Amino acid sequence: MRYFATKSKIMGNTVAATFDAIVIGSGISGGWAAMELCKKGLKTLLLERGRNVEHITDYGTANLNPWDFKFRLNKTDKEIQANPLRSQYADESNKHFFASDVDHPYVQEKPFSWVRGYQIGGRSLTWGRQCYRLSDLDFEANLKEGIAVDWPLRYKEIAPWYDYVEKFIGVSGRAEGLAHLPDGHFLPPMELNCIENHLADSIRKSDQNRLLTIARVANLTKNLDGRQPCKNRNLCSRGCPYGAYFSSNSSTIPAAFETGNLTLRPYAIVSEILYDSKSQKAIGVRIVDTLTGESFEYYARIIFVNASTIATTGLLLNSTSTRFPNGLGNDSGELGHNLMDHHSSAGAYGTHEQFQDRYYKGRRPCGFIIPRFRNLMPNSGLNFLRGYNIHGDGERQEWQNSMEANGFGESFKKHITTPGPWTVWMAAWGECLPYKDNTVSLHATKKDKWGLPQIVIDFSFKDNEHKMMDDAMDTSQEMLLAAGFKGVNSFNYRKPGGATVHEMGTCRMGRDPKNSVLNGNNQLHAVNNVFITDGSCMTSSASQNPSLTYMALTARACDFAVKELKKGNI
Amino acid sequence: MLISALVSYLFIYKWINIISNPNLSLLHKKKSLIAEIAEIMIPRTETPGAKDVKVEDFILGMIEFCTDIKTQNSFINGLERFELHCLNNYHHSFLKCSHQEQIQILTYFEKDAKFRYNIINKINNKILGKPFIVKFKELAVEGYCTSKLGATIGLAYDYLPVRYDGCVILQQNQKSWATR
Repeated sequence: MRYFATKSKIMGNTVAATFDAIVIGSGISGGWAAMELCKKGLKTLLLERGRNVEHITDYGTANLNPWDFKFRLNKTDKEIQANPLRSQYADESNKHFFASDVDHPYVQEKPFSWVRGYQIGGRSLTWGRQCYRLSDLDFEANLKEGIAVDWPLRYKEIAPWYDYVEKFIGVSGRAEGLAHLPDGHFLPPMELNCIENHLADSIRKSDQNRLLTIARVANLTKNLDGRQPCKNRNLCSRGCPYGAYFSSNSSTIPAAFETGNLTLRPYAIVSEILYDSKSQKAIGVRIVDTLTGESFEYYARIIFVNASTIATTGLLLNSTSTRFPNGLGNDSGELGHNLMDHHSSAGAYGTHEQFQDRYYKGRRPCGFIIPRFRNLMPNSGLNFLRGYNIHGDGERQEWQNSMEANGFGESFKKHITTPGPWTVWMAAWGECLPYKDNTVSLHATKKDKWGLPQIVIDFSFKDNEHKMMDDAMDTSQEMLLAAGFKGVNSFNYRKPGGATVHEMGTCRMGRDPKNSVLNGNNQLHAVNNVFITDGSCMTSSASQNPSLTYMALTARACDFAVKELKKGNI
Repeated sequence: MLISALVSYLFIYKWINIISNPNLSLLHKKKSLIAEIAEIMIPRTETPGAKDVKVEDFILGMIEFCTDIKTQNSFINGLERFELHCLNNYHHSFLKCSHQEQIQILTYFEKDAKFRYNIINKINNKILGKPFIVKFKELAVEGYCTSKLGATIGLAYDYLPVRYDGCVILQQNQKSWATR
């Protein structure tokens, strides 16, 4: 990969660097924006605040065994004290892909886990790879229920873009014909194991509205564009040496480079988007070089903001001008409001006595999903709105779970080294409604080490989410009991907001500039050459893992933007 | 009543004791004792035992670098109490006890460490740190199962599975997988 071709000093005598397009952020949606714009012939500058990560070359831990790590992937007390957040999500094998708490402080009005990946590829290196389409059940929900504002698009408008994205990234999965979790363009599905098939059978027999299917994941089960099928190592978050899962690094960025139109600029935090009141357009960006602390400006005709939900809104809030005293494009006052994250705390666990003579081989990088079955029809008689998908996983107890047994010596050794009973763990990933008072803002005085204002996050789950969690505990427990599981226990981990790492909203799409920030093409209502296609654009959260939707919206917005550019409308 | 029992004089004494800085150099002198306890837990059979995989090195590293002060103290105090118990009841050190005595001692400590009610175990773990024997066993098992010999011979280790087969017949003497 080559770095920035041109480097211009804002304060010096050199001419500023000008491009056709600037993309801010190289994660899952930014990578897509850069690739699409490059493929359409635009000279594109891709800005990333972190360091470079080369596909394969920089996956230094990918092939290591447990015993190759000094503390066998346990975290040192020092790491836990210094990085209380990162240490919950990362270990020695992958912590180089997670932002340190020390260098990147933020203010939590209430506990909120803001898990970040500051490098080329962003969190696309460590994402969960689950890919589900939203449907009109989701796109119409706000309108039908009078919540927040209506989505400015419907399923038929985004469906071709889901196709387009799925064909490129490679999604394995099984078509189930569900209207509310539409089938996609799938590679052959991964395989359920004995206990999961047993649970699937039981669910099918007990309730015709429920089914259990293998997760739909961006892990290849066939060769695709030089990337190899998944080797079932289940070490994805270290980076895959086979390129078997989709990331910006494995896919979109190399494809963007191939066009000859991409300039990649790491170590560049965008501090501000520059607005020109005469042309009523954004003319470029100002960045801070994280290594030297110097400031530079880059200019372009269109700007895509893909810094990730919270950072994107922080950047807009920090981009003030006489025209936009409260943040770029913030005429509605909605910028920074309606922060959402899925809850994933509530579910159930159980063990099963059957299938003692069966086992599995290989480490499948995903589990199963029980697609949403709540509130599919209006007036379902439940005490909450919307619904949840249950994600889960069946396995036999191994040493990690059998060490609590009493006893010592040969029999104890045998106990910990032979497979125990089958178990299933499952929990609901549930929708979070958009609440105006769940917010992202900038702190008046606190700064980070580059002098940029710290972000303040004020978020909590509310009554609807808590009632949904209670329901998910009951339904999970009930499905396990019906399938003959023993020792069934429901749980609610009560994880804080952000813990699912599905931050959405704060720069929402809508039909009316008075109550939304972006239009139906992810274009700022008030500044028509700025497009925002990361999670911040989400009008509601639905209950599906959202990355696929960001990618589809990005490809769609790029298509629109370039057409508008050619028509001379931008 | 159980709660009030916990908040006894002994409890407060224990708590003060466990928030002070631990003497880690003392711990390193007990390496052979740690190795012996681990070997009694996970002996060499037709597959390697705890000593073969040097579990003691893992345990020492974990206590020194990957454990909070509370658990460090609880572990070191526990080990001292363990040695005293051997001397008082068997009149020599654990290393010199017979195999049967060694098993007896470990069984005594395990029984002593676990309350009848799981909720009390949880409260106890949270406030005082995990009891010595419970922590020791966890570390011994983890150290064994994540070591090269433990994972590849004691258990089954599949470095590059390639395929996933979700429902295969369990082989005779099938070991469980070392990693997930």
